[in-house]
This record gives sequence, C-alpha cells and structure tokens, in this order.
Amino acid sequence: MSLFWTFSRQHFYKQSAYRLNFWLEMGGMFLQLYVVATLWNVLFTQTPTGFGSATLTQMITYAVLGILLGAVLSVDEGVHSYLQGQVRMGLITTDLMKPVDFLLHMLARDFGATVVRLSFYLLPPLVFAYLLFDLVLPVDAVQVVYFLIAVFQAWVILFFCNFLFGLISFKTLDLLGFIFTYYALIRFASGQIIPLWMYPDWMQPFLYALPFQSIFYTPIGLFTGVISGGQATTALWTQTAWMIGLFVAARFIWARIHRHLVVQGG
Amino acid sequence: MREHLTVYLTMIRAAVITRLQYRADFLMGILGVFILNAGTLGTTWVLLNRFHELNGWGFWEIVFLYNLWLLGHGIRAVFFRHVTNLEQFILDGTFDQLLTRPASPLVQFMGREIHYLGVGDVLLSALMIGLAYQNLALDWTWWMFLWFLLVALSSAAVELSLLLMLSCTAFFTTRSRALVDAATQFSWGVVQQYPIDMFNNVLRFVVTVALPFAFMNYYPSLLLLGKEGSDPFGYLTWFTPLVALFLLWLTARVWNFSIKRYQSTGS
Amino acid sequence: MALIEVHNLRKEFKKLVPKTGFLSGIRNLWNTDYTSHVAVDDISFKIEEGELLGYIGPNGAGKSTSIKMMTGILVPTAGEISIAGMTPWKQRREHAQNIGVVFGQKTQLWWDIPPIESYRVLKTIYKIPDSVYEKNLNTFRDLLELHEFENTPVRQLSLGQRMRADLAAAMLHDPRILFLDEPTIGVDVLAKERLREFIKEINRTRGVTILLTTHDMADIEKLCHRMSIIDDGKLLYDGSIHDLKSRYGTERTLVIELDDAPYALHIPNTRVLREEGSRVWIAFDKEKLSASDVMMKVAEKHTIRDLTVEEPEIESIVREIYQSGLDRKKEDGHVAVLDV
Repeated sequence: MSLFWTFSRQHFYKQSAYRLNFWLEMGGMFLQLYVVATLWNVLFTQTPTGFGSATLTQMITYAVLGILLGAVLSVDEGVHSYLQGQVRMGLITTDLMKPVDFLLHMLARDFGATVVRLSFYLLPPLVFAYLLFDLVLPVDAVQVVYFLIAVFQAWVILFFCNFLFGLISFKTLDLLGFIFTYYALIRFASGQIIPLWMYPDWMQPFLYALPFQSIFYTPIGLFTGVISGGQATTALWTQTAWMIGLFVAARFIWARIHRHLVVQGG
Repeated sequence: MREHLTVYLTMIRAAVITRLQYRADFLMGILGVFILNAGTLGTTWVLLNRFHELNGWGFWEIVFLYNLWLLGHGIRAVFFRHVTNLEQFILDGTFDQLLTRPASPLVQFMGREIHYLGVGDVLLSALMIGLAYQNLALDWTWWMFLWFLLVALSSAAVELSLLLMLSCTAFFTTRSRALVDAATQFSWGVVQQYPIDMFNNVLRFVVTVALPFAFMNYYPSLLLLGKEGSDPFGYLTWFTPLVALFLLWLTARVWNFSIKRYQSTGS
Repeated sequence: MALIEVHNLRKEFKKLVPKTGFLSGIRNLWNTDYTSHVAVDDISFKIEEGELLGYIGPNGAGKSTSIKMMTGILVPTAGEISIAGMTPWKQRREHAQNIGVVFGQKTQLWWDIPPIESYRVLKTIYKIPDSVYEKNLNTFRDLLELHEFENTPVRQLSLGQRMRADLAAAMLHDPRILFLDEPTIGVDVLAKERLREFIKEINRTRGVTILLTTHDMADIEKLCHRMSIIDDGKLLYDGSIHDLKSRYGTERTLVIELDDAPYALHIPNTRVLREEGSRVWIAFDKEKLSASDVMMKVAEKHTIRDLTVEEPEIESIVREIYQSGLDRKKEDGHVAVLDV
C-alpha cells in the first residue's frame, strides 16, 4: 500500500510544479463544459423530445461529469504511454528488475497519477460547475456510494485496457498509429460525451458488449440518475465482471510476454 | 528570399530522409488518422441522426465544415507540425544551435521537420469534402474552385500563424505548451465541428478576433456553402485570405520580437 | 587588437523562487517571487589569434552563459564583446561564418540521418564552395577517421564517434574560432585521446583559435597553454598553466619506501599524509623546505630504499581555488552583516 502513496506524493509534486498549466487546463475544461452545455441547449430548443426521458438538466450534468471524469480517467497519460516510453528507451528491464510484481507496480504508478488528478480535476471544478450550471445531484447516500464504486471500478477497467493496449509496444516499439484508433474507439464507444441511449438502436447492443461503456457511461449514468434501480446494480456487476476478465487477460498475456523477454534477454 | 528558399529546401531534404527511416509507421499512422477523424465525425453523425440539424446546419454541411478545418490543419501539419514543439527546441538547446549559424532561425526552424500524419488528414478531408459536395448538390463555378484552393491555403496559414505566435511564448517562459494546448481548444474544441453562430457573443469574439480560428473553416464555409446570409457577420467570409496574410505578417513580427527578448533575457 | 576581446561582461536573469514548507505544492500555483541571478559578473579577457584557451569552472559558474554570449546566442546585460572586430549579437550572421561551435551535451547533427547528410545541409547554410567542402571533408576523413561511420545514422554512433562527427561539422566552413563546450564529456579514454589529438592538430596546422570548456583537467593539461577559471560568475584566474602551478601549487609530496616500518617522523613544517606498510607520504611546502632536506631528516632514522616527488595535480589546485573563492564569499557575507 505504501507503494501506492509514494507514487501519489510524487505525482502531487509534479502536478503542482506547473502552476500555469493547471489554471490553463482548468480554463480548457470550462470551455468544453460551456460548449457541450450550449450544444444540448440548442438541440433541446430545436427538438425538446430529442433526449427521450432525460431532462435538459440531466443532460448538462451528464456533460459536466463526462468532461471532468475524462480529465481524471485519462486516456492519453495512462500506463500505455509509460510502457511505450520505457520500451522505446530500452528502460523496461529496470522495471522488471524491481522486486515488486510488475502489474502491481504499474497499478500503483497509475493510482498515484489518478488520485492526484482526482483531487485537482474532479471536486474543485465540480463545485464551480454547480455554481455556474443548473445540475442534478445524487438524491441519497446510496447513489453517491454507487457512483464512487463505479468510478473506482472504471479506473481499474481503464487501467487494464490501457495496459493491454500498451503491450502492443513490445511488438512494434511505437504506438502512434494504434493510439489514434484506440482514442477514437474510446471516444466513440464509452458514452463519455453522448449517452449510449442516443445512439441508433442497431448500434447499442455492440456498445453495451464492449468494456468501454463501463468506463464512462456507468459512473456518469449513476451520478445523473439515468441509470437507476435494478439497472444500477447490473451496471456495477458488469463492471466487476470486466475488471476480473481484463485482469485475467492482462496477467495471462503479460506472463507470456515476460517469459519471452526473459528468454531473449530483454 | 532565394537564399531562404535554398536553405529551407536543403533542410526539408534532410527532414524527408529522417522520415523515411520510419517508413513502417507511415501506413499505420495514416490509417490511425482516418479512424480518429471517423470517430469524431461518427459522434456528429449519431447526434444529427437523431436531431437532423444543428442550428440550421445539416449533417453534410457539418461534414464540410469539419473537413475544411481538417484540410487546412493537414496541410499545416505536413510541413509545420513541429511549431508547437518550439518549447522543446529551446529547452534541449537545439534552438541555440540555430542561432550560431549564418541563416535565418525562422527558416531553419521551419525546415527542421516534416511529418506524414498530415497526409492522412489531407487525403481524408479531400475525400469527405468531395462527398459533401455531392450530397449537398453544390455547383461551383470555376472561380469558386480557385477560391476554394485559396481558402484551403489560408486555412493552413491561419492555423500556422496562430500556433507559432502562441508557441513564441516559449521564448519568455520556456513553458508554452500548456498555453498552446489551452488556446488550440478554441480550434479543435469549438470551431472544428460547430457552427459558431450557436455560441454567445463572447466566444464568437474570441474565435473571430482574439484567436481567429474561425477563419479556418466557419467563415470560408459560409460562401462555399452559399450560407453567407445565415449569419449577420457573413460578409467576413470574403476576408479569409486577407486575414491569413495579415496573420502571417503579424507572426513574423512577433517572432522577431520574441527572439530579441530571448537573447537578452535567456540563460 | 586581439582576436577576441571581452570587456566587463555581465549577464543576469530572473529565477522563480519555489515555495517550501506547508502546502508548498498548492501555494506554488500562484507563486510570483523572482530573484535576479547574476550568471556572469564583470568578466574581461583577451584571446590572441591562434591561442588555445581552457575555460573552466564548476557547473553553474557561468561558463556556458559566457560562451552563449560569445557565439551570439545571448545578448549581455552589460559589457562588450568584440570578436574579429564584430559584436556577436549585433552582426550575428557574419559572426556565425567566423565561428564553429560544438556543444558536447547536444549534437548539432540531425539525429536520425548519417553525418554526411547533415554536412550537406551545413554546406548550404554556410555557403561553402564545393572545392573547400571536398577538401575539408577529405582532411577530416583522414584525421578523424570519419569514413568509418559517415554513412551511419547519428543515433547509432558511439559518443566518441558522434563527437568526432560534430567536430568535423563545426570545422567544415573553415572557421577562425572554435568554441568547444565540454567536447570530451562522457567519452571513453581512448576516444578522448583521439579528440585531443584532433583539437591540437587543427590549432597547430590551421591556426584556429580555440576556447575549450571541460571538467577533465587532463584535457587542459594536454591541450592548453593558458586557462581561465570562472566561478560564481567571476574570473578567479587567467594565465598560463605553468604560472598557476608555481603560484598556487607549492606543496609537494615525497613518497618514500623504507626498509622498516616508519616511526618518529616528526619533521618540522611537514605533514605525514599516509602510511602504508613500509611506505610513507610526506607533504611539504617547497618554499620552506627542499626535498633533500626532508629526505635527510628521514635518512637519520631509516634506510631509504626508494623515493619519488609528486607534483600537485592541477585538479587539486583548481579545487583549492574554488574553495578559496567560496571562503571569500563567506567573508564577504560576514562583512555585510557587520555593516548593518
């Protein structure tokens, strides 16, 4: 556990070292918020029935959460970019020599970065956003707890997705081409910006079958109340299933790559 | 002028040889660019599939808007993708070396790299603009096609100027990347896929005057799509090439001023 | 008029003072405390055509900053530089034709392509005529054995090879002055030797004036006739290496091998540095005693089997000079307190 806090502290210092960056990123996030809020407002004025059963306030809350969580659960600063960097510089062997389980080490490193982003990018801007926009908040403690569990599980799922994706760099040394594909997939299929029910009917089964909806759609849906009742527990259990499935896959594939690395001598 | 061109071309030659070392990345990179943009366009398609139009703009009109941006961006990215990396050039000492040589630092900096990813942007945007042209049943005269080419180059010039001017802050703070990233959000986060007349006047002012990214696609699209009447400021569409020229001139001034400052305050 | 003339050169810049202590991370978000830092403080010197000057000092002493001013990269806060009659930052381009620069930490070659391709670019930038280019390239092929690796991408070269390729790049346009900023850093012993040979050679046969910074005193001893020591932005020493040794290095060490274990070696004005078996190291000041005085005192009690006299390494002299600079700083601080 101490490993986890060590990395958190490191990331905290790194983060606070770049003060200008922080304020600019904040500004950028509020610009995004404003743009999506305007988008929903315009569309709502045009076709008030377009959101189905969701209200405009719910949609705007959805957008706020989507953008803030997008900054916390980062798709471009994850473990895959670390792996790629280490592989490219030939430094991965130093990580392998550390007396810690590699997957755990990576998880701790990512945990550190995420905790810091969480403390900088989730709560403070959420308070601001609440003052600026009309938001729906969770109605009871259960909903808050569900949301927090969902965020945690979403982080683990994203971590394993990033990790599995990052393993490609052991084969190719470079992720550039793949990374765009990966971004596009997550942006499109996770429900971060557009809630899944707004997609065409024929597309929805595919989206629900992918792990990406567990990363953004589930926590945001729980917070805004668009996922509730029996659906809520199902969504959480689906996340858990993905966590386990991806964990097993990551372990298995990593074991094979590791063996290969040891045989080849890095 | 001729001397600058000779230096630039020689440097581009070296940059091309550099790129050819990584030929394997080429196809994958281009494919990646296709998919990335398809993802963004896909999101727009999902929305417009449900709502049919956005503030008076149909799906194919938005496709046109988006891809005119992408065309300008792609042309810029092929030749000048590294301008936003100026900070790194300064930090690692590469920029200092440019100053020890008897040639313009600007020309040397511009010619330092070339990138193939932009090729994917250019190809995709050309294809999509073609599709939009058909689906919107546009019927341009020959001078309209010429105007379109001029507009595409202007779009690239607008982006180049704005990014380079913003990157010049690296000469003062050595940390310009965050500022550039924040400012470009007005480009890829606002003007890229939304008709800007849906936003309030403050944001419109920002993307028209302060950081005129809207001249990359929104204003020129108005004329090309025959929508200049839909916006009270629609006449700005005619000013696109002039805006581009003015920005290039301004950039040269800002660059020179920044280098002077850097030389007297740098360490 | 000397080739390089530096008068009262001064350079200061601003530095952010990071907050420390309670919640420093958060308070740094709106920190605006700057201090002015003097990197180069009133330095003057002259270098004649054909000289090979060693310019040394600890990290952050102001070496690189002064080189950046002499190469036209930075403009000084105050003072003047005239190199071959020009002011580097005012006539930057003409000046650039006159100089070659090698930064040991950072290659000026294109990383992913072979040196020969970089040379082609430099040929255009420096407008080198074909004949000069070919002639120089051939010379360097011999001297630096460039042909071994001129067609290999720079990223695949060893540090020594890279440095050779960089030296050739800096010399292609026949500069009159060469600035070498730590050209031997990180290079192995053999490769260092080769680099030194080349530097010596171009200084001797082409009459190129060279200003060299380094942390390796062997570079200085093997290459330079003259050295300047800079610390904390100030010039602490400027003169020949010989003078440096005789002025600051008056301590000698006598290494004596005895028949038996040493005892009772209390000779006035000497110090026993070390004893090891039957061998003993005795330090003395050559102004006060001579080596034979010390030897005779020892011989009174012991049989001497072997002996050598060690001169001080230039390295230890330089260390002493830095140290005295440091002491002076402390004294200055003390005086300032008294004034209050």
